[in-house]
This record gives sequence, structure tokens and C-alpha cells, in this order.
Amino acid sequence: MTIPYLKMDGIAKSFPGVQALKNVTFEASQGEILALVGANGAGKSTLMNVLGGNIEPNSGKIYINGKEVRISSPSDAAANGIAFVHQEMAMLPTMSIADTMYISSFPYKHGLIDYKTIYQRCRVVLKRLGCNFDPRERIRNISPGDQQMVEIGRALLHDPQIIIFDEPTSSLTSREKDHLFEVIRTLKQEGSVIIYISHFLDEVFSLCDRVMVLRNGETAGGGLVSEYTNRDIVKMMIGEKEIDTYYERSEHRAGEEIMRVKGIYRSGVINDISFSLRKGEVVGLWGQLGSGRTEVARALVGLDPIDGGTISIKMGDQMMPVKQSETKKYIGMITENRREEGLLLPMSVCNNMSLANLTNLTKKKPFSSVIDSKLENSETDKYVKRMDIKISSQAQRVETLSGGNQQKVIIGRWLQKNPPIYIMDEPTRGLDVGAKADIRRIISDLAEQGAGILVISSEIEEIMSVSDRYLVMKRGSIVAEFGSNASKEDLVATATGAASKKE
Amino acid sequence: MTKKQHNFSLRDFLFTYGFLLVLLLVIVYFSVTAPSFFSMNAAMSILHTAAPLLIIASGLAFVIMTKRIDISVGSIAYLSAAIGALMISRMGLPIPLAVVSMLVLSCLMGVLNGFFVVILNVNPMIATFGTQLAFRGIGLLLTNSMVVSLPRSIRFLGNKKVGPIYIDILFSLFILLIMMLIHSRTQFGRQVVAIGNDISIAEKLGIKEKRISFFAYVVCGLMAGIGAIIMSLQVGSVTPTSGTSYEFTAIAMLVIGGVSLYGGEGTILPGVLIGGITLAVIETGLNYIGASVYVYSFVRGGVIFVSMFADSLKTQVKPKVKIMEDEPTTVSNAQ
Repeated sequence: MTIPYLKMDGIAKSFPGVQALKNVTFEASQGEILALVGANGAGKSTLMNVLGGNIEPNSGKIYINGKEVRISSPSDAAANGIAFVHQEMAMLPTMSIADTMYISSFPYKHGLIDYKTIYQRCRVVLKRLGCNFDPRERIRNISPGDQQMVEIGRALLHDPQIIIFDEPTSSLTSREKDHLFEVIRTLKQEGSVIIYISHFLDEVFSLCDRVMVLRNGETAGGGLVSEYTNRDIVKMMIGEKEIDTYYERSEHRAGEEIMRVKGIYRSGVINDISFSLRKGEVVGLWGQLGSGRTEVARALVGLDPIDGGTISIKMGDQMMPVKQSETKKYIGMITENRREEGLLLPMSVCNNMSLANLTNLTKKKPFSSVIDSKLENSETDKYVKRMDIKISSQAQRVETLSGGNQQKVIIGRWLQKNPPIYIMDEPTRGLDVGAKADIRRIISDLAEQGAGILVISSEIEEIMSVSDRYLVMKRGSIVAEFGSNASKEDLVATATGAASKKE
Repeated sequence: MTKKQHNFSLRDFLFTYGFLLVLLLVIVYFSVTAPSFFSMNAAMSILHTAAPLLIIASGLAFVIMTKRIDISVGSIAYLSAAIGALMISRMGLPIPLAVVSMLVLSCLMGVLNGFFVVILNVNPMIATFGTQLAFRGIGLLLTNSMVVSLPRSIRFLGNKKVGPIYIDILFSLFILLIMMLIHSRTQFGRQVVAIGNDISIAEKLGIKEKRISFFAYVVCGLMAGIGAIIMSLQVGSVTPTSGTSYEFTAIAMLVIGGVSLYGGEGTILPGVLIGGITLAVIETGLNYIGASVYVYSFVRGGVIFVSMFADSLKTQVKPKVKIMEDEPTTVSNAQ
């Protein structure tokens, strides 16, 4: 038996409240591409950040070529021949390709930056990636695919032995992706250890030699890719256990159609999104992080622009096309980051809740531009009681509330306005179990009362507990639709691209 | 993989060479309306006027390229000039010693600005507005709001010529050349630009953002001090209003010359030089056609506004890079 070139042994890491990695052991050899897969939050990124020196583990050892090494900073990692190609590209749009690659340390000659050497080195490295860029070209003039090559080029400057790719295809076209895969295969042939993190199983099957699956911070399995089917890997990702009984699903009766979305798209972000939403129905919009689910939600309420397509909403008896800038009159949007985009933290509960409904809370003529604070208080009180928000008084500042109560304040704001449609992006993110159940109950109640609701969540159990129907997104498109009888496996498999290959 | 775009875009052309075009138009306009304008003499007097401000602007450029601002440069120039003049005329210090202390002092003022803005994280506009008032206040206090004259022995330097060229023009071109090298050929200069692109990305790339930004303020202070030397030599004295509104003239020079207030963009040569000359040409030209003094402020305000508007347009229209090449866009347009 040969010793693996890289070995991470018994790595554990906990963050406040979460055990992100529990005793993970990980091996990789030269001349192979190892896929690291797992659901959102399985610990893939944490593990690789340990290797990249961005996170220090609580315990565990790292061996390279049989020797134990200490990696406590990104520069330690670089010194040990580890390069990390991050998902988020670090590009400097106004600067040249060469500057962007060398910015953290330039070689000098005669007291000035030695651009002659730099340009030569850049050309050599980029040529290895099959690119013929002029290193003096500015970053903003090249496409995202080419920027990705520059990012990889930067990683290759110091001749690394171990290269980690974190979701490198998320912003690439399929042609650019093919090119990237060729580059990765070349690097493999040159004897590098390649670790490839991906949400997409189709990529794993077409590119990688071995796979390792993480689930909840533990090794769930792994081995040669050729020995597995897509379904096997999906099973390892989500585990065998069924949906907890504690997530009780509620059936709603769907009524008439109230919103119809037809072919909305935004170049490079979402493509040809069409679906309809009915009264009293909860539709789960499911997909991996970055699949475009949040972008669809934002486009529907006009937070992001769209390049084309129509949104129609039922008014009276008819479906009427509505301008994108007008849709927010009919849709209550609960954004994924409530603290940044939803709440006015230093203001009171009462002020926050009445915010969307101020036009209905004014005094009688002729004082119709003055807010009737008595009415405001009584309306607020109604919804505070209805949703059981725990506050000391209506004047309490929202920033002092718990996450669950903050979220209820936002929902309460929309309840006052009573729109026919709700979009909830990660409505229970960061909440404790009790608060999560409360929010789910509120979603159910709203559907009972006839609202159409689109729910986005990263947690599959959650989306399954509230939805009557599912739309699955992948790479900016809706790729599948399921009824209420869909299984967890169906959803994960379609979102990761594994289903497209099943026989 | 690379696709060179050969189709000519008027917009790109205007954004790249717009400031040169403006300069040419202004020169042509004044040459037609005031024939004596197009002469060597006029050109020299334009550069002569611009000389101290070019130096000050070249330092300020580094701060602006980090996406911050320093509106205290006029007061730094005044205070260091006032102290230098007092040292020479009242305390009788040897001139080289006075000059060195002036420069050290201007660096210290830059350190103070850097401390407020970078270390204490005070809003750059407010912090340097505060020091602007404070520095001038100290200067007025020290001079009793009086004019401090320079001794006759050095006053001639301000208007000395080598051939047809004022020596202060040569001096400021020399400084611009050094600043250009610092900006484009040193790690400090490059990292300043990187910070202006995006602070968090710069930090992620391992740049010591705070150290570099702090140093940019020190460089800015030092340049204000060097500019102050030329400024006071030209007049032969330091008056209570020396350096007033220099910050806005310098900012206008930078913006006209293509240094973006949104950070990360612009060059010292030719950018700052052309920006400085354009502004000086406009003012000298107004002088030549005999415009009222009150028109100056109005025109300068207009020029600043137009150049800043152009700057904001420039950052709004980013070159559109199409991502989904494989996706045919068959969907009908929204109404």
C-alpha cells in the first residue's frame, strides 16, 4: 500500500452552537481528482478551509507526503504547496491581469516592480491553462470564465502540489466549464492532487476519480466514482432516515390561480422561469445555494431587474399583467436576511410593523397625512396577539428581540397589509426549533386563509413540511416540478443533476 | 479564448480620452476668442499657476484612489507654510532646517488624518473637514492672522526661470514623475489601487489594508507640504487665505484628469497633469478674455459638477459581459 500524498486525520471543529466537523479523516493521492460532496452545511467548506489555513481545527493532524505539517494561516498552506481556488473570485476590475495575480507580493528589480518578469511568468502560467491573454489586459474587460482562469492562474503561480477547487463552475457557461474541466484534467496528469468541491453530481461523474461524501460533519462514505451510481451518492448525502415525524405536513386546499409567471429571465442569472401559484397553496422553491432561487424571488418583487417575461396577478376575475415595479403591491416579501433588508433595528416594534401599511393608518380628513397613533397601536396589538410575539411593550426596540420574534414582526407587517401572495426566502433561518415551528404554523394558517405562498428554504425537511408542490431549480432554471408526494431523494437528486443520468 | 473587440465604441472612446478632448476644446475656444492666448507666455503662466496644485493633487490622488477623501490638504499647506515662514523670519532658523521641519510637520498632519480615518474609522469627509478647520485655526493663531513675508534672499525663487521655463514647473513635473513611479511601479501604489477596487477583496488577497491606507494619508500630507513650499515662494509670503479651497481645486483636477472618486481608477501621468492643466487653462483663459472675477467661481463650480457627473456615469455603465452565451434568448420582452 502506498502512502497517500495528503492525509487529514481526525479533524474536528466546532463553532458556537454547531459541531461543524466531527472526527473527519480524509485522504488524497497525486494524479487523481477527488470529489468532495455533501448537502448544504455538511462541512465541506469547513474541512477545506482547515486545509487552506483559514480555519484552525480543534483537533486533528494533517500529513503531507507522510510528514506531519502545521497549517495555521493561508501562507502556511501556500508554503506547503496548497492552493485554494475560491468560489468567490477575488478580482480587481480596474487592474491588469498581471496586477491581480501578483498583488499581494510583487517581485522587484532596481527598486521598482519588475513587470518584465511578471508578464513572462503570467504568460507561461496562463498558457498552461490554455489561455492567450495579454497580462496587461484589465480584468473588467474579460468574461467571468476568463476571470476564473486568472483566479486559477494566481493559485498556480507558486507551483502548488495540492489544488482545491471550491464550486468553480457556478458562474461559468457550459463552454467555459468544458474548458475548465480540460484544464483540471491536465493538472491531474501533471501529478497534482486535485480536490473538487461541488453541488453537482453530474460534474462529479464526468470529472472525478474518487468521491468522498460528508454529512452533518461526518464522513458518510466514499470510494471510486465508477463503483457508485448517482442514487447511491444521493443516499449518502441525505442519509437513510425518513423525514422526522415531528415535521408534520399540513394539507391545504388549492383554489384558483392567483399569480402566473411566464418566461421571466435575466441574462446570466435566471432563465425562462414560468410557473403559477394558486390560492391557498404553498409552493416550495427548492435548489442548491446559488441555483437562482433567491434571485427569482427578488425578481418577482422588483428588487432585481429582469430582462424579459411577464408576471400576471389575479385582479377581480381576470389575470392582469403587472409591471415588475408594481408587483410589490400584491406580494409580501420576507427576505433572507431580515436584519439587513427587513427590519429597522433601532426602531420600535410598532413602527416596524406598521411600516408597509401607513397609508391606511392615517387620521380622518383634513389630517389625512398625519398618522393616527392610536389606530397604529391597536392594529399592531391585534397582530402581536395573533402571532404570539413576545414583547415587553410595543415601544421595545426590534434589535433587542430574539430572531424568532423579529421574523414574526416582519410577517406581522405584511399581515397588516394583507397581500394575496407571499414570498418567504429562508423564513426560519437561524431560529430555534420552537420558533421554527411557530413560523411554519403561521405559513400554514396563511394558506388556510387563502393566500398563495412561495417558500424558499435550504433545509429540505423544512420545505417538505410546509409545501404542497415543489419547483426545483438548478443553474438558474426550473428543472423539475413535483407534487406533494415527492420524496426527499427526488428533490436532492434533481437539484444536484443526478436525476438526469438515471437509467 | 480571448476575443478582441475591434468594433469602435464612441462611448468607450469618450470615457477614455474625454478629458483630453475637453482640454483641446477649451484651448481652441480661448485661442479663438482671445488671440494672444495661444502663446508660449500664456502656456508658461498656466503651468506656473498649476504647479503647486499639481503636487498637492498628486498626493491627494493616492487617498482618492483608496476610495477615501482628504479635504484638509489646503489647510495642511497653509499651516506648514505658515510655520515654515515663521521659523525663517521670526526665529531666524536656517532655511534648509525650516524646510525639513515643514515637511515633517505636513507628514504629521497626514498621520493625524490617517489616524482618524483609518484607525478610528471616522468618516473621511467629516474627519478631514474637522482637521481642515483645526489646522487653519492653529495657523491663524500662530500668525495672529497676519501676513508672514519670506526673506528677500529666497523670494526670487518663486519666479525664477531657466530659459523660458519657471523652475517651479520643472520641479512639479519632477515630483509628478516620482509619484507616477510610486503609483504604477511600486507595491504600495498597486495595493492602493487594489484597495480602491474593493477593500474586502484586497484584504482577502493578503493586503494590509489599514497600513497602506494610513500611509496614503501620510503621502497626501507630505505632498501638501511640498506644494506649500512652491505656493509660498510664488507669492513671497504666507497670507491667512493661502491654500483656501485648494482641496476642491485639487479634487476637480483629479476628477477632470480621470481619477475616479469611486476609487481604484486613474493615473498620475498623464491623468493628473492633464486635469490640472485643463483647470488652469480655463482660469487663465477667463482672465485673457477679460471675464469678471465673479465668473471664476461659477465656472469652476460648473466644471467640477460636470466632471463629477461624468465620473458617476463612467462607474454606472460597466462593460456588459454576456454570461449565458449558450442560452438563446427567445423569450418575449416585458411590456
